[in-house]
Amino acid sequence: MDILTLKRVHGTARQSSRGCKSETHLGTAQAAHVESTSDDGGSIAGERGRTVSGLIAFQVQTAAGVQIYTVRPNGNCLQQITYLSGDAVAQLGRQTDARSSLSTTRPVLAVTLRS
Amino acid sequence: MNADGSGSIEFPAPNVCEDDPTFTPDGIRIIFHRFDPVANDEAFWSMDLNGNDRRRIGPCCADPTVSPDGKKLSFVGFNGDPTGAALFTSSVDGTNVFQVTPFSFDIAAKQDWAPDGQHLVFSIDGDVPIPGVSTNIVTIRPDGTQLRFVTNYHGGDVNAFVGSYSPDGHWINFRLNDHGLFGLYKIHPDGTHLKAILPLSDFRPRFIAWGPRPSHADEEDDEKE
Repeated sequence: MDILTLKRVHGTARQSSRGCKSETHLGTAQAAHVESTSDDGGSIAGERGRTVSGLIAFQVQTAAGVQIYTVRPNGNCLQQITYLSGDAVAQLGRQTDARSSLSTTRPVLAVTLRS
Repeated sequence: MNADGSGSIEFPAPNVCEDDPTFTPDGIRIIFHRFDPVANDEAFWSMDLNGNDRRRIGPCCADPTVSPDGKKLSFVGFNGDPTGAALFTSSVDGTNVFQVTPFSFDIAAKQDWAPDGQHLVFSIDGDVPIPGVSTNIVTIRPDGTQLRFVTNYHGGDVNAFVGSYSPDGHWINFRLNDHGLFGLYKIHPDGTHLKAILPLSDFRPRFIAWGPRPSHADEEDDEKE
């Protein structure tokens, strides 16, 4: 899928939704969806003794190659985080909260992510 | 690199394929799949976060995933048949290999441990598409018992490919393929509360992982989702 299609699907408005640290491609259709799902995570997030859920990361084939995106579990704050000329083939580890890892296919490399 | 995509560090390995990275639970090492075409050597390896101190683990195949207690690996192995892919576990050093499912399950490469380590989740009939057969999400105990279908799609036009458990263990996220469209969804491990995160479109998420909330998250991040 190319970037043009992405914009068509998720809207072209770059809005700073409440709680997002950066601009997103969140569109109106998805914003409406967020309202329908925003009621289900509160009790889970506040549960004692459990790791609180954060971002969901995934890879998507774009016109520029495979890139990595993140999104909140409620569908908010969809964000593309890699803009590589090769493919960024990712698996972000859920065990660590400050680092992530990915591999690319240019030719094939491993990369650590540090925040 | 940083969570916003900046500051990437490259681990160069010319002419060698290194992929499927996953962190150990303590966050100090990365376990990955490595194929050296010159030596025709394929195995899982580990390294520190700078790419040094590389150690060969042993079992090959696909998608090594460390158990939450750091003692075991789960991974996908193949028997050479086009639809022969099974779920395996081993000790984290590559010993004590155990076949959790039969090869006939033909599971997709992506699979995950529940945060409490009591179950594994995978996608059955997910490796090679078979006309008329849907891919579904299944959980199983690491000893191969208590197989449970989380989704129950039939006919082949709708398929569910698992990504991972949520860090709190209450959700499983996955990609739903529905008549040529794709969506990012979540569902409880008991098969209830199916919800769309990104609704159906031609935007196709793959290799989905769900991270914990960073301890340094600001106040706005602590809002209830």
